[in-house]
Amino acid sequence: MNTSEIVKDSIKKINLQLKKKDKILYDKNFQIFGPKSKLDSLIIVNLFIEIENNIKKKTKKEVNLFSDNFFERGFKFKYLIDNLEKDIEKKIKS
Amino acid sequence: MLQNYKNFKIIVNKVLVQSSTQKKKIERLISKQNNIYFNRAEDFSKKFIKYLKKEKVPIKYAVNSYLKLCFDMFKSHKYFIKYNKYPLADEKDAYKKVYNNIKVMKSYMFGVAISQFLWSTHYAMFSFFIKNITKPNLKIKNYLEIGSGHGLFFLKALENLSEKVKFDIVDISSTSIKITKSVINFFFKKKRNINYYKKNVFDYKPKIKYDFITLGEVLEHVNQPLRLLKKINNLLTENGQVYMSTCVDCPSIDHVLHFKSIGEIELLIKKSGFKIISRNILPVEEKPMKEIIKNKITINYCVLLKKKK
Repeated sequence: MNTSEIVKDSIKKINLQLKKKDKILYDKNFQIFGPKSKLDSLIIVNLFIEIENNIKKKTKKEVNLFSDNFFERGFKFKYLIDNLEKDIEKKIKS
Repeated sequence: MLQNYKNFKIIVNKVLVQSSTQKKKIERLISKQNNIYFNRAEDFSKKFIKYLKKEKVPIKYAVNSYLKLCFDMFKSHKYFIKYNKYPLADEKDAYKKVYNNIKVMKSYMFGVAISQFLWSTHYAMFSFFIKNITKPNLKIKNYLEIGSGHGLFFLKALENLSEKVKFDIVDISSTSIKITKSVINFFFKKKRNINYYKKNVFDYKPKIKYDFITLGEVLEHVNQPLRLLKKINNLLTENGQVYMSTCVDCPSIDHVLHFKSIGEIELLIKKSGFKIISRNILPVEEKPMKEIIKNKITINYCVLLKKKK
């Protein structure tokens, strides 16, 4: 199972609902949270749900990409697609 | 603009430094406001910072409480979209997890107090309340507030109503009553007839009727909204008025009642014997209403009611 593929597929699906200027680019350095992030909370929620659903479909695992310690990391620091993919890998393995 | 409002600037800057997500929203909000907003926000911030100092609470704690509130809303919204229900479904669970948990409730109250000036819809509801409680033709002998929370609405009522008014506060949370009492004692030095009751509203059986009742952000916390509104109607004098606020599609750590539309709320209002005097419908995102409804984006709602005759 390839984490990047799951994220890419999810982004593709979310992008269908977004205007051209709001579309998410698949790039390891793309900021989900951070000073350069252009995503609003609604898009982030939809993206995370889409990824979680994709993970379930492909691995039968129920994961929650939002956790309480995300609050400490996510709002203060940059959270990139790269960080998200690493978190997904960890959660799938655990 | 902010440089002229030093206390508000302290709070805003502390939020912006910690949250890039909040940065855009707050900057957008501030860019659209007038002097009344800034004067109110500065007045609140000045008092709030003084209050925190007196309570020996660091500003950082209050700011983190606000950010925690934002994150909790975010998390609750994700749960709501994924499972099509709120994280909690029973007021007893909310009591256990939030209202009766001093640590959670204290943080929640500080967070909501700040949100009153940093969330456009919360500020709009606060303004709606101020507009209606400061009307010169109001004849109020008895004022009742149910669920006083952080105490800011009650403080406005105290500041604007006559010294002859009797004020009764009913709240299920002792932490909330404690915060309201300490806020009022700290900011309102004049003598007033105020009574605090730590009670479930259904167990509150006063011998008097009220000319003005405030029921802000309470309805979505109860299992029996119709019973509550009928009770409020019964507590109101013939020409009395009710300020009420609630919300549609608004998951939170302690919301148990899911209103799916404004129509659903207004049907309940009608069924409980009220008539709408004025109302404000406030989606939290600036998007077309069609999109708001389709994507289940939260809509805040506040209303001024009177008895249907």
